[in-house]
Amino acid sequence: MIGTIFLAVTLALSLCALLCYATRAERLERWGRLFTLLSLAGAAGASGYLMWLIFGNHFEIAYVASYSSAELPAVYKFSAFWAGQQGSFLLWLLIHAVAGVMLSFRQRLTSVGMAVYMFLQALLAFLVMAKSPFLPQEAAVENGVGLNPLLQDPWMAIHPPVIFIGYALLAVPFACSAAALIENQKAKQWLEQARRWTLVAWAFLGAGIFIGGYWAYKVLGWGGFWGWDPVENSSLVPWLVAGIFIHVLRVARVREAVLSMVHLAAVFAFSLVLYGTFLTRSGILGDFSVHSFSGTSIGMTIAVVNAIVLVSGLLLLTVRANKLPKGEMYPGYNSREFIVLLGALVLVFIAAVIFLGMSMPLLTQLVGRPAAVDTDFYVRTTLPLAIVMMFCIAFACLHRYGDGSKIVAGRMLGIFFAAGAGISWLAGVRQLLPIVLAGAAVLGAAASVLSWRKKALGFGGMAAHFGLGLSLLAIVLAGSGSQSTSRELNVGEPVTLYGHEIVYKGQQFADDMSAKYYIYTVDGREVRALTKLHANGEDAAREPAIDKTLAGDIYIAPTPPKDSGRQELILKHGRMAMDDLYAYRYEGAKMEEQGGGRMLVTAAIAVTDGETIERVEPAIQATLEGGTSKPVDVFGGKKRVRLTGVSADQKQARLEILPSLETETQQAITASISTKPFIWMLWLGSVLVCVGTLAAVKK
Amino acid sequence: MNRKILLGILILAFLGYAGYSFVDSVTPYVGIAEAQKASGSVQVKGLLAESAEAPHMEGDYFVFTLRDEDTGETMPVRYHGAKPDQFDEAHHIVAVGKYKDGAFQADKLLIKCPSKYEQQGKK
Repeated sequence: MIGTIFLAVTLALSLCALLCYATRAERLERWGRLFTLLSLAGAAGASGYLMWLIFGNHFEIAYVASYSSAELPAVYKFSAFWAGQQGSFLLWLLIHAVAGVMLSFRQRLTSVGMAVYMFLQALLAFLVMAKSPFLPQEAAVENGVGLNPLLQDPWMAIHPPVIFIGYALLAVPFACSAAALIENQKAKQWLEQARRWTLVAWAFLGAGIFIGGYWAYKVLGWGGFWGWDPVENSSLVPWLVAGIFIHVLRVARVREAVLSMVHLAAVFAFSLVLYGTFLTRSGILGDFSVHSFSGTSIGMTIAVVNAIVLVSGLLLLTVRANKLPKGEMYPGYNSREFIVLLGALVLVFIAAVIFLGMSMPLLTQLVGRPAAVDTDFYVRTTLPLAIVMMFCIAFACLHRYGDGSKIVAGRMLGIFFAAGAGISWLAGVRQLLPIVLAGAAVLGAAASVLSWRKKALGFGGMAAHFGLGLSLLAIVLAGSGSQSTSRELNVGEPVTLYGHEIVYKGQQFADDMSAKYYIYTVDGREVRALTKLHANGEDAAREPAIDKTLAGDIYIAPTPPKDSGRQELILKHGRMAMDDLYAYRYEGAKMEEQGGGRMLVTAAIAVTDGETIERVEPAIQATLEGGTSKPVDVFGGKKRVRLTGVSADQKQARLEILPSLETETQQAITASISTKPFIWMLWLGSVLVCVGTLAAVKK
Repeated sequence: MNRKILLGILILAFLGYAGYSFVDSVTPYVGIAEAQKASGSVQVKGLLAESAEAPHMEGDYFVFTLRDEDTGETMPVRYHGAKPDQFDEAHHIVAVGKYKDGAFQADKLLIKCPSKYEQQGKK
């Protein structure tokens, strides 16, 4: 209830601020700023309250029950805040409100700009209210489900906030552009401010995407970092469009006629953020995406919000189109202006094909039978475009703005192209287009450094383009140059693969049985594949083992367990049942109520090897949500027994018989092993792209 | 002017190529009966048929039987790769590939598990 009040107050205050700003009266503007500040207080109140609910284990709230649990470590309780869509919307609103206060007090967006910004904030507050994280749980539970073990990773804890900072800040160029159109502002008045905010948004969105890719590589264990999944694409497309915005804006500073493109990019960048949210949150992709959220009624609401933003933005631009400056967009084909615009056009194409691909399930659903595109589609279409893009970067870097004078002789650049292509050939890449891309990537990276040395490109721009070149080269090397094989590995038996000696050393359980490790050595260096375990001992999440070297990674994908030698026995009261070694007799159970719906069920089991009898008492700790039980050793650990159930009349018990820990941990496994040549260059390149983008803010 | 035409031709050529790639890589969603007839790559959604042979590895292939939820038809699926994570907890399985030699040759398996990224509260 308190949370909903906070949200309603935020919505109301955002609308109040919107009205005050919209009047454009000096006196009311001050009130507008006050309301803006108070709306932040409202959003912060709602967020603080949700955090309090999570840390206080208030499982009567559905959101808390779904994403947190009593035993979840504090840091992941923190990230449970944004683990689900309701919480991540609230986080988005909070970031939007924080930026709103900065815009109204320090950066001083115009009144009209603030009105547009608060309009977007009201829409967001409305979305959070429509999909509130404060709804009560239908049936009382004692403990929450907990955060998915796959998400219990430091990278995944920061991934959503980083992405949402990017999403939220893309509202700033939208507001700037709309205000400039409404007030007929001169380009000088708003371009610089829009540029700085968009660069920050762009850097964060990029960082979020890269973190997601790194996490997928490090945790998910399918061996890649990018799967062209709609959820990934829906954040990539706004990132590309924000890139278009930044580049056309740069040209607009020297050629005012380009301004209309800047406006167009601003409208599309933010609309595509909303569209991506709609696509991934509406459940439309349910059957097509590995990780879209399950179907909810929020879809239509987001679709309407999205339509409002897109249509109003485009309408405004159309109405004001004749007031925008006209003239020459570029002096000639050899000018930097033309090449940058051409590069932006290539980005438009890249964004468009990805947009088309990810929207396929939606579009086909509208006309009949749903269909999706194969991920090959994205590779086939974006690969040639990426090549053209890198050439554009290289040639743009070679020319100066204005007079189009050349910086370096084009001839010597052929050397860099040959070097890139040669490296990929040596790394084992044999397809034409990837080799050309590797050459173009090195060429672009080298040209950006040369351009920086001649002071034709800022440090940030150099770092970002160099990083992009490095990343694309790494994608070619680690993607097309990767080799992979599946091998059966016996404990202690060395296997030589791709010039590395790999030995599987067996499994090892963590002391608290919360995880187990598959241990390998690669050329003598120990690497471990972590498998997180549920309380009942079953696998919860499997991560790969990665041996990192300068030449690349050896990637050992996690292995689903083979037949573990476990066996289930159903025992009738007083009767015997046998496995390969022992006979087991069920002698009765006792059930102790422990209050609060908790119950301890203990079974008395007699085990005999024919000579001696050993008595053990495996137990199940049962709660309303289910039970957990730990294995108990028999005959010094030669077998282990785990109680998995007792019938209500206590006449039957179900036992799981596990082999000795030794047998289980020393089993042979089938591992899928691959090489990822020079993949560290991708991580380094991604970091450079983000750092460079941020560095470009100050100029 | 010549360069403009050249640029236009290049753009058109790319659009043509993109369109071709697009049509070529569309994988429609079909039922089991249709999947067995289809010539190109398709996606089939179903459940693990529990009555049939248990899922197992045959060399490099993971083999199981898929059951259509609506019609109850079944079809063997051969997937080149190891048993995917969370296969056992799958709500639905989406197999992407072609029907050939008496089995559905899957290039890709999507394991639809409601608990994968967003867990459902147990009631």
